[in-house]
Amino acid sequence: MQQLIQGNEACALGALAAGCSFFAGYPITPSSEIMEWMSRLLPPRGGVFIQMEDELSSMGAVIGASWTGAKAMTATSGPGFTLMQEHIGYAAMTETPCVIVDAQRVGPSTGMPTSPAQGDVMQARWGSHGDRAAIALTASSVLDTYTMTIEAFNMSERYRLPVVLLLDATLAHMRENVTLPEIPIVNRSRPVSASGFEPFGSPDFLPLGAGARFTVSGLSHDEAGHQRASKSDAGERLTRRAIDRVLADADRITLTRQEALDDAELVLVAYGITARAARAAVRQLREDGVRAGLLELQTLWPFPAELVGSVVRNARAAVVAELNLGQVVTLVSAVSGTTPVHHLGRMDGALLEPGAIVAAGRRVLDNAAQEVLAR
Amino acid sequence: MREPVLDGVGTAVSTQVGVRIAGRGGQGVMLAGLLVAQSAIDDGLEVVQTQSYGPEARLGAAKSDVILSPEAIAYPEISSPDVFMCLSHDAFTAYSRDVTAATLLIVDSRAAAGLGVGEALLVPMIDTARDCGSPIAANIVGLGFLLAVTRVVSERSLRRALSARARPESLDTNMRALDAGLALAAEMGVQPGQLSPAGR
Amino acid sequence: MRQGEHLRAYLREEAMPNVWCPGCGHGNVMGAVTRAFDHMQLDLDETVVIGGIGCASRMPFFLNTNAMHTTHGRALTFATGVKLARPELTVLAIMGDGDALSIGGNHLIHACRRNIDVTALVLNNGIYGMTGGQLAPSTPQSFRSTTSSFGSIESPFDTVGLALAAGATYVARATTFDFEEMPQMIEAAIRHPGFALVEILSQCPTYFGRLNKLGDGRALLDYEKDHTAPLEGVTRQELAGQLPIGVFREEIRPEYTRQYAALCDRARRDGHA
Repeated sequence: MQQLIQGNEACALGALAAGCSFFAGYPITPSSEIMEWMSRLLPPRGGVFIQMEDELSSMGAVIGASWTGAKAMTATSGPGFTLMQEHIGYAAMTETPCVIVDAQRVGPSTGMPTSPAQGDVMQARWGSHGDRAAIALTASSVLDTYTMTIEAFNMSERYRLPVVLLLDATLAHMRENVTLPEIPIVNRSRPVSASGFEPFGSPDFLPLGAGARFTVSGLSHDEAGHQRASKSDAGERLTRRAIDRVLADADRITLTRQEALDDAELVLVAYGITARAARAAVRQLREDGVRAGLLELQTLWPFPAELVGSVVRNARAAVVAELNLGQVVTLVSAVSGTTPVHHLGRMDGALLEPGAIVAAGRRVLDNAAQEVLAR
Repeated sequence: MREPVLDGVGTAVSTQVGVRIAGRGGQGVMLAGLLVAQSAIDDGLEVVQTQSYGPEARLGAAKSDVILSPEAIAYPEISSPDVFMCLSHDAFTAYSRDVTAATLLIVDSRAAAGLGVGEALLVPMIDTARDCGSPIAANIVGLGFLLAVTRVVSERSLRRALSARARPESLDTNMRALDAGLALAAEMGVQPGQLSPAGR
Repeated sequence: MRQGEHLRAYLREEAMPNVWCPGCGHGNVMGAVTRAFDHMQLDLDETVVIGGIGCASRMPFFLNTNAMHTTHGRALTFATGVKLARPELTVLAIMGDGDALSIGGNHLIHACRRNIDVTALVLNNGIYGMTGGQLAPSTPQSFRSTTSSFGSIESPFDTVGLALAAGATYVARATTFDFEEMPQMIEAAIRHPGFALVEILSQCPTYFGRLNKLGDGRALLDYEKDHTAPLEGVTRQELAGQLPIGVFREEIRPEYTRQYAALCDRARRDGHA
């Protein structure tokens, strides 16, 4: 059935479909409707909704709930996402499955609360101190918001990680007609037996109160959960294991949409809401005889460097379009070889328009041609 | 995005149509946008609906933009509206920056006073709604007029969407307002045109 | 069997030795916690003890329960998540004074306000021990710390008054000197169906005692004894200069997880999708 649904509503419906039974959050524009929906949807289903006193406590409650076995999430925007970083790091350190939705708005600080941005890409990866495994996903449509929320839960359950879903103010508030699809659900695996089970460093998850008493700690610890906070390789060992678990499955985690890339001389790299303008730009450029193609990154972390590199290196030029002053472009440039990479960004609260991307594409192709001539 | 080709007032053919509805907070701008979007879905079209938010929407001027298309919609914002229906003076000032000569303007005749609205169709939406029993049904009068002039959605779908969204106790008033809007277009002798995304 | 030998079952031997200095009061508190657990025959599999960060907050490591050692000041937020998701579990949050009153002050007042069935033990030694003796929100006025070398000019928090004002339904104060009463208060707090807070005045000889020239752990216990008095049967004048010890409030008000369960029933009954 076709429904007219708002992005934030689709996120809440996706969470329910994924089996989310716990939501803790704090109001913030432009994500608040997610928690409003959850406050209505969870109680009649026996799930837990709580509005906490701030974003720090929201993430604390989410992690506590996850350790009882619940699928738990929160939703926020830039300033709240920053406050959550302490506990996102804790969730990574303790291998806690949970989902954090960040509807991005213009920053830094209070910035432009109702205007879209894509400035939290690096924060989603490196916002918490120290090294860690990380998965961050994007969505570019209301339907996407539904399916990627489910993907975020599935990945968090499979890899025992906090998974971040990056939305933006426009997508959060816009409505589209969608037919919600059935999507397979992943549940965290339980160890065969609680006795002798080591609760950390394993993809299997044993909740608190399941008969094996151990300590969950943000201190560096070993597989049994004993703190190893001085001169020990245990913390590095478990962190490497978590990172490797993600990298070993990178093919499965990396989701992209590729359009007209086969013969593309100009590659547009975009993600989230900006991918839509890039898609429109590809069509216009093709109509005008320019062989343009689009690589839409639905997974930003782990960054699919190999795929991006091979696509970009095959082209004469690339444009990275994003609503920030240069984040994903640094990753693309690192793997672009000799292909020139042009950055098109803004953070004034407006979307990048197809026309601007078309113009940037033409310019960078012209420059590339002149460089070849000069050689 | 392909620019729609407008063929005189109210008769246009296009692959994609952008409809903007704007007014004061409380004039039912959001509802009107949702009704257009819901009707378009029933007509088998793709839609993207966006709107002004937060303090912007609460401080007087509010708008709802709807893109309708027979194909998947890539860019989600209207770069310049094909149709702009406006219920208030302030909203016209706030949201007419990207209006072009090709935009079909439908402006409440009171709101238009003192505004340089050019070729706009001036429609007594608020006065007509008051005659129908409720000045807050001006949005629905406007929709009736917009429907008659553009046929962006089918009348059947719009009536069905209105039945589904309107409160039962105000449904009669709303239907009267819709009819009044349709009648106004006929009385004013405006050519019933087509600005239909399906290219009908 | 040595007296108290059976209490070892409540401790996690493999996590020993603990981190506390000789003469520190936190061991006395852990002893009282195990005695309370033993007296009420608590099911350790169904108990979760959650600490923040700091000397006191290390206790979860050493108790043989389900345990979380979380982040500075946030123990109660994790406790709220655990308790809400599985209300049948017994949940304790063990925190220090800097943990609960400074960085975690906001969480403390909101946990009190919600009256969620969690037992909070605030081990107050008047100073930051783990980080090296800095000023705490509980350091008495004119007292020294490594960041108040000329004496503190700040007023210390009244933990009990704060909890009472914020709506906690069981509020008590004990000292590590009150060997008999402390386990009873901890047990009463765990049994209490609502948010229970016990402030326990504990001694830090390493920093509080040394920097303020008050002597070792034993001398600090004497100091505690001299500066406290039983709450009951004492007038305000008689209390001058002394902190009252005892149970300040024990009342039944609707508890959060039970109210939440009732809300779910209501939502289901009313047929909300």
